[in-house]
Amino acid sequence: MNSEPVIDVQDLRKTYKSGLFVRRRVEALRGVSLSVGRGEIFGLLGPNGAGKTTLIKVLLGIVRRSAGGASLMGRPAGERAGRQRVGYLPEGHRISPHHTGNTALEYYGSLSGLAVGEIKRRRPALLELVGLADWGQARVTQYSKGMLQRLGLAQALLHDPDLLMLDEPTDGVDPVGRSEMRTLLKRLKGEGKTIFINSHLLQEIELVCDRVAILVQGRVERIGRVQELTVQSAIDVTWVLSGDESDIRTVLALDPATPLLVPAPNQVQVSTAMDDQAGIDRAVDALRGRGVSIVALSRARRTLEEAFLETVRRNEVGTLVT
Amino acid sequence: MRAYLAIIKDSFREALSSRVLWILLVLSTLVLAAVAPIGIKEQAGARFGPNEIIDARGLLDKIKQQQAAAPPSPGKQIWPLLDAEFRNRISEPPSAASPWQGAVYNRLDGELNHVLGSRELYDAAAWADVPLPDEARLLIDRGVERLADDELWRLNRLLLEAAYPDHITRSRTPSVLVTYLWFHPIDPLTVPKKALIDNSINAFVWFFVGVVGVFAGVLVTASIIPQTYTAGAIDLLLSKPISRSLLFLSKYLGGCMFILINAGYLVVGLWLIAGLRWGQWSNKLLISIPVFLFVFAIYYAVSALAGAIWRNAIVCVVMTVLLWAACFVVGQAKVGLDAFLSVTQQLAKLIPAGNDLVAANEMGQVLKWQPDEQKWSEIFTSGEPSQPMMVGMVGPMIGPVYDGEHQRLLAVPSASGQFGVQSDALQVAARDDGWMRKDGVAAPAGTAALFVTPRHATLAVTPRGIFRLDGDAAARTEQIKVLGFNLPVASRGSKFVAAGPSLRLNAPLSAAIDPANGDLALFDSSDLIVLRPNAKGRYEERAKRAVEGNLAGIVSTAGGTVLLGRADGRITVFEGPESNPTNELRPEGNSAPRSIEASADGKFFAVVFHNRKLWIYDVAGRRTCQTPITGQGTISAAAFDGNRLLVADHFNRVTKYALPTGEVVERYRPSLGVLQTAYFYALKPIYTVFPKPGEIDNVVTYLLNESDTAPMGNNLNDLRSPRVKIDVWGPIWSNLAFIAVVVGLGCWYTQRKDF
Repeated sequence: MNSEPVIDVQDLRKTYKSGLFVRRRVEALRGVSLSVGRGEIFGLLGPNGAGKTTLIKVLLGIVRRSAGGASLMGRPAGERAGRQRVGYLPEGHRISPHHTGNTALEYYGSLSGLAVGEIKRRRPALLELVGLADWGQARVTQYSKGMLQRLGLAQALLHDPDLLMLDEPTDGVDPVGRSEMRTLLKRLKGEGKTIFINSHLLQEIELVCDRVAILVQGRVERIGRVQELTVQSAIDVTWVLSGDESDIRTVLALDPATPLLVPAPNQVQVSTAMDDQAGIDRAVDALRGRGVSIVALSRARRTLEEAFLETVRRNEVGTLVT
Repeated sequence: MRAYLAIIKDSFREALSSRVLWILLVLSTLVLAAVAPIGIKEQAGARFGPNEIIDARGLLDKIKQQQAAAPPSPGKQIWPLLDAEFRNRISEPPSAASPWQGAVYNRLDGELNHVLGSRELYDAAAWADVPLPDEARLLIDRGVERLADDELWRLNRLLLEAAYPDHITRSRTPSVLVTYLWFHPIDPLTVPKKALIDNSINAFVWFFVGVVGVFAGVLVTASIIPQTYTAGAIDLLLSKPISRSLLFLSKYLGGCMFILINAGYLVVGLWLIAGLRWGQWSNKLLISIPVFLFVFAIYYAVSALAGAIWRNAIVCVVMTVLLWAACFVVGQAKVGLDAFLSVTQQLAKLIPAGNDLVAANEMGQVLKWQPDEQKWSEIFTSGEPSQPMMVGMVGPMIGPVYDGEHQRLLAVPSASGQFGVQSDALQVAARDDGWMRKDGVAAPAGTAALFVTPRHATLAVTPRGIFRLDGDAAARTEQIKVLGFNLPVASRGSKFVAAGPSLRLNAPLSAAIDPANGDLALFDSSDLIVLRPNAKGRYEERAKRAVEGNLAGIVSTAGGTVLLGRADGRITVFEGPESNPTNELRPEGNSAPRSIEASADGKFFAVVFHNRKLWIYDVAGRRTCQTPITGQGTISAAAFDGNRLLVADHFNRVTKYALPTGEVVERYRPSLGVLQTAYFYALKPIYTVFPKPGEIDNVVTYLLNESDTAPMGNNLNDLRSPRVKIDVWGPIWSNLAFIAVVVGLGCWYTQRKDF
């Protein structure tokens, strides 16, 4: 990873103002700071209205920032030269119905500064890459939602950008397509491209992203590698044990009222929260010391979705409290 | 640049994908296919056009006289070919209870044109005593029955001209035969072929491109900008390395492609038809493509701005329709009020009458300036409620002229000039009589000009000669019926008598008198004649020259200098009757002159053009006199009072200038009425800043006709008749400014908006 960030955002703020006579203010971004390094796949998560799309639009200059700083590849965000090296797939993008796949690529490629000859040279391989090889001549009105999404991705890739900004890229794409897209994204990462993904599909993010930021109400609540976000302060351990119930309750410090499941004759199942691995080891030793057989032991790991929901709910509670 | 060309190309592609475009192109093809079989062929003059019957009353009397007599005659041949109801109508002589008036004379053209199509007109015995031209003899020798229709028309016209040379002019206007496949759907037309084609194409293109095409364009392109600015589409575009303003501008220009395709297809098709079928390669027609593109651009600017703001195609159409309605209302209100004020209040003639200032407006009302009340009041009335004449529907009133010796005004009603009626009467209004109008002696038929000579004689000039009033002008002419014919008998012997050679000039005739020596200068579109009175006051021809071009003109003379203004805007100066032109100028381009006045000493000539501008010529310096004259663009009349110049501007204001300094000597300014106030202080400023898409076709008219004025009514060839001033460049600039402002707002909005 190159030391110079491809995306660098510092205390970015955006306030929308509306209403002619009674001015209404909506703070979409409230001091966002993050950076994305070269060759990184970065995921931006957040509930609806969190400011994810606003952040992308500010980075691309579609929306003006109210305060703070943002840069793309070392240039101020929104600068035309910076956009030259960006491929963008907006959420719910709309390609004019008079286009075919080929003419749409010709149009958007020209807007990116490519010569028509160059576009025609790149187009077949690109359509092949996104699975639309046989659909270049067809009007986009005949495309399914997933096909439109693939075409959108093709136009974003057409001018071989250094940075890809994808807003809900797998929206409407079937599981096979999603799998293909993941493969493609990993390949692009391998080519040194930086990818910024904004998605609701947390599983997708978890599978492809190197780092993730969770944006809630215009603020970055959490940011880090996926593994870091899914690490928990206590470890959930599920035990399947065979032995004296009172010994089990004593060693695992279970409340007498805690019911014990009986998955099989002479076996009980119980879940405990352990501070760390040393705690688990001590409990194993103590159980074995009392003659309790350990039939099974499993550690539960938190998913990104759980981490996301926890972050969002915590923020909601915080909002209610304040 | 590549990106913006791509946007324009995309709009072009979007237009091509529109079904409406293809429907319009198919319709255009059908229209062109329907037009292509039309044939337009010019042939030698046959049909009777305006002013070609000089003396309708005399002609009818002669036909009736010949019909009543026994021997074979042209009249005997013509009579049964006239419509029975028309024969009955003219069998009864006009009376006070049943005057013939204009309707009969108007109809005479049509009746004679009907006669032209008859193979029964020619009879050798009837025309035995009539000298026929060689062209007619050749046609007769071929056999009347074997002549083609157009040849028959020509022969019959030649027969009528030969039979009634004093009543009918030689045919000057070639006829145009319009055919459709092998049919002759309409009678030959007496308009120049070029004018017919140009005007037809102009109207055709205006309707199909300017109205249908633009309206369809507004509907089809209304969705282009809203679709571009839809969420999902605009994000994608703005993420590209392009300028927002240029994105809007390119989309706007691209939207104009629609009308370009439509207009281009139809106009080029018409251009090919006009060239290949009618032999007229009107390259200027092709200019109408960008002109109508410009019209569309005005509407589309509003549509595009509305599309950027509201992103709704219906709102775009509604806003465009609102703009059209606003432009229509403002434009019509301005044009209507301008025309109304021009007709009812604009001074068309100024007549210094001793210490009084008299003027005539476009309706023929005569007004006198009341210095105490600072207003114009009507004079020259009979005391009964007057019935103002519709401007343009009749010829200009002959006079009034001021007879200083008798302190009276003289005029001949306009109907005389138009229909060739043997005059109603010379009208006289004396100062002592409170300027009340009275009918006097009968004026000669076809009176084209009335003068009071330096020797105080009253002259009437007609295409057939010069007539001098002998006796009392106010003496009423009586008419008596002899053998069914009306013969004028002036009481106490007062009448107009011939005072010069017999002339064979054509109408419309322009005449002027030299205020110093009484020389007359006459011009009839082809001949310029100067006549000088001898010791007995009888006029003798002093010089005659043929003038090329067959264009109507206005002549003026003073101090031996003759100024001739032509319909194409040329002013030719002759410094002596026999001399060659010493100067030829075109101070107002192609705008035709309406009147030329000369100072009494012959030092200056003042030319009022139909574009309402005044130009002064300095004879001694042979150059334009740089006198500062205010109100240029609104000037409607000028006259010399001695060596002072009177100029009428802003409808009814008059200013008296000293020449050559231009020092204002006196102003005659009536207070503005409600309508004038509304016009000058409300409507005109609004109109000036408002876009004028409806007036862009003025450019097409200007390019086709090469004139910034257009004739009104029937007197197309008479330069004295009022004309509509066409503002060619004003609408261009105001529309350009409008487009710049609206498109600029669109760019600014796109640049500033968070999408």
